[in-house]
Amino acid sequence: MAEKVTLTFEENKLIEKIGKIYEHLDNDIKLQVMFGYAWGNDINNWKYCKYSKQDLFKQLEVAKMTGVGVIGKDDIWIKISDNIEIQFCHHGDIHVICAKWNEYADEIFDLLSN
Amino acid sequence: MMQRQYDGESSQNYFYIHDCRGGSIRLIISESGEVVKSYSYSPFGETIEEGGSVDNAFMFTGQYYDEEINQYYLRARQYDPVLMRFASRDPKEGEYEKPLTLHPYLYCLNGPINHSDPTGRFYDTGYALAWGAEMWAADAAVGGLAMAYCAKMLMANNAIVEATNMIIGGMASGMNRLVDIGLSWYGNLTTAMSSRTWQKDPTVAPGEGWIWQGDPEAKVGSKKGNWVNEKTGEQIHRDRDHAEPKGPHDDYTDENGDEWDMYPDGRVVPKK
Repeated sequence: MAEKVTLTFEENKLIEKIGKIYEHLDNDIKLQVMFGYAWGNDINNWKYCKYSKQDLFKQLEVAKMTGVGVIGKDDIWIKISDNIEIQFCHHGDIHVICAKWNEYADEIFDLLSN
Repeated sequence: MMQRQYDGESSQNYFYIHDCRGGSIRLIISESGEVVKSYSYSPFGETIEEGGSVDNAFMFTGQYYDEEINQYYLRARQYDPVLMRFASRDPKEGEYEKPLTLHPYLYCLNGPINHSDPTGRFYDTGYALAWGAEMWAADAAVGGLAMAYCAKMLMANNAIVEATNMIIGGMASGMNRLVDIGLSWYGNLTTAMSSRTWQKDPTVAPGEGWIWQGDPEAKVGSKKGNWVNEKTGEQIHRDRDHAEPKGPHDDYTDENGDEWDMYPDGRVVPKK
């Protein structure tokens, strides 16, 4: 397992980065998303669910409004392929995790770092 | 607290002993109100200033100071206030869930402001209470002896009367110690409640009543889940492979909702 971590970002930047992932893959794609620590107990009970970009943004907005959690303070895990998973960490940084690091992983990491 | 000591040598003077937080002797005052001895200490008990000429061997936290080897006698062990460490290993085994207790030479878990260690083996809360009860009785005798020591062995005609006074003083000292130990125990307890510490094995529940909640496909104790105590509302998230500079840590939410980072070296730091 290989992993690279970006610097930390504020909430609005992290949302922007999620948008970038969808745009990079396909704006209409639905990705496997799991709400992790600490809002996994309140949203989908630690299970991966398919989210479109709009649905995910809406879920984030509702979670913030209801006080369940905020991106950058709670974990979100997004699977973008069989090999690569992205963790938007509760410390505000972004982890790119791969079974085997490759050029595509570098591309994703660069996308999220800049 | 104030105690009266009798100088039985020849002058038959009484002295009043003033102690401060933790029972450390700060001033010894004559019957006429004159300060005849004064001390100040570093937090770990090193004597920073000492004035006056009256003999006294009971100083930091009211314990016996052996000036020949510059160490305190704390029953189970000798304590060196300059090195800020005990001179021998802790006879009591530490607890993995409280990493500081694993250090065999630490004094008061490096927290001498809020704690004292008159037994040389403190930080066992149950033991502390039992010890406090024992010491109430024991200090009656020890306190009496201590005062006899300060009086350089009472030899006057009114020895019995004065010895009785000393024992009463010793009992007062014992009571004072009991209160100190109780407060100290409470201090340790509240510390433990607000700062759960690093647990070596992430897959093991932090205690009774804790359950694992997380991604069903991930391993128990991984970062895709957390330990939850539904009764208290506490949560612990094991983030053991987090990259530097944050590094490996656990995220802990206590029962008040306060959040902490716990590190392998035993640090428990409130989250910003």
